[in-house]
Amino acid sequence: MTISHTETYKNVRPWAVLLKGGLLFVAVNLLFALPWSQQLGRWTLYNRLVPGLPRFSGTTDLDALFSTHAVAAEKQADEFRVFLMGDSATWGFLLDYRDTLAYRLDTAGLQTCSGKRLRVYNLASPSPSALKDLILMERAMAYQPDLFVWFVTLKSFTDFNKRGAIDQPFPYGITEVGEQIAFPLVLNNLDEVSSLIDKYHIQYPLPRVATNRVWDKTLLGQRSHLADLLDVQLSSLQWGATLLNSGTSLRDPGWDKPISEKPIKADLAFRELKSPVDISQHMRLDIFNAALKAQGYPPIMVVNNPMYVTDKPVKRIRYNEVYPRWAYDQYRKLMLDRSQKNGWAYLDLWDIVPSEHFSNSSFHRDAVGDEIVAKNIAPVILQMTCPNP
Amino acid sequence: MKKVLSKIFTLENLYALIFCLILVALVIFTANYKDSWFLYEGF
Repeated sequence: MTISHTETYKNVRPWAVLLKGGLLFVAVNLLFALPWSQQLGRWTLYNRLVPGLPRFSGTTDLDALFSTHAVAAEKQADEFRVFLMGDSATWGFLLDYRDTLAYRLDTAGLQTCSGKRLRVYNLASPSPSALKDLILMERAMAYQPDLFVWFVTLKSFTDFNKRGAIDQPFPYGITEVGEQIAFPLVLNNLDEVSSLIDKYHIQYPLPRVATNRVWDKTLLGQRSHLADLLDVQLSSLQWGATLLNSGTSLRDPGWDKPISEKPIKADLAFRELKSPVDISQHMRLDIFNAALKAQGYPPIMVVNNPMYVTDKPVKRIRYNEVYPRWAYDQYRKLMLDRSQKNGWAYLDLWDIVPSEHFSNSSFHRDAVGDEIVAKNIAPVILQMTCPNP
Repeated sequence: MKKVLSKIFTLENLYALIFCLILVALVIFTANYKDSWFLYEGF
């Protein structure tokens, strides 16, 4: 912008500056209500100026989630892409990314029998939910996977109602929803979730919220979303300079206390179920089946997540603070039965990691824990990459 | 054309643009968004 040299500060009218600036601000607000701003998440420095992230960031914008990830880089001709799906245990909570399962498998020099390099991508996202995983798998299809490895546990399938906390309210004034969708990544993308459950004929009650209001699309209405996007892009500077991705940015008040020091209630309760019942009645296996039968998906290998097993006296009735024996034993038997009946590629690793290799929860492994899982799972993945003779 | 441009590119309009950008920055940088980061609860 060039300013006339004859003009002086005396010509500037303060009231006109405020008025024009205010009008311009209104115009910018309205510009954001146009469709282009809904795709801001695709504008990224990652995979261009700096390398893509080795695992998902904390953004709830699905476009940004993928465009910032290393998986968004172009697929090479000799690459066999394996996508690890799951929750925080697979994401690598409290672990440096170089200690995670995905990184260990990716750098193990594995090759398929046809000589392709196995590239393993961490597409897990914290919180156990089969529906959340299906949303991510559907999006991940654009990045040409050759194999999905889907880590699950009983809590990936349960769907008890959950209320928003006072200090962590759900968006859109939602007060209570099912556990499958009770976190921002899903609740902030309800339109996409709605299309997905329609596509796969999944019966799931979504909260009725107005997601299409013009106000919500303006700059003011999107301010949290824009701040979120900006934060992810600004973080690229730190990532590009240091390549540090420590896995400690997640919120958990108990992160610093080892699971072995946390108390376990000596009761039979599993969430709101106070005594043994048929656990399959409380599992959303229909969501699981929808993913396994999805048209056009590559093969899916299902892995039952390893978990901490207590050696305290309470072990008589509970495995840990999350699962009583009655619920988890039923779940394991059900998964095994169904995998045999339906021919799923299923690997049950529930007790493969010794209890001293869990960190702050019954599912978060330490670096050695992930190494143990990597050693056990690598041969099975290789087997799946080669066609049967 | 030159006349139109000299009316648009004035010091007053530059200040108005800066004022608008300050408002935009204030709106974005004061937004509460961290609460919507991964909520991880006692898994």
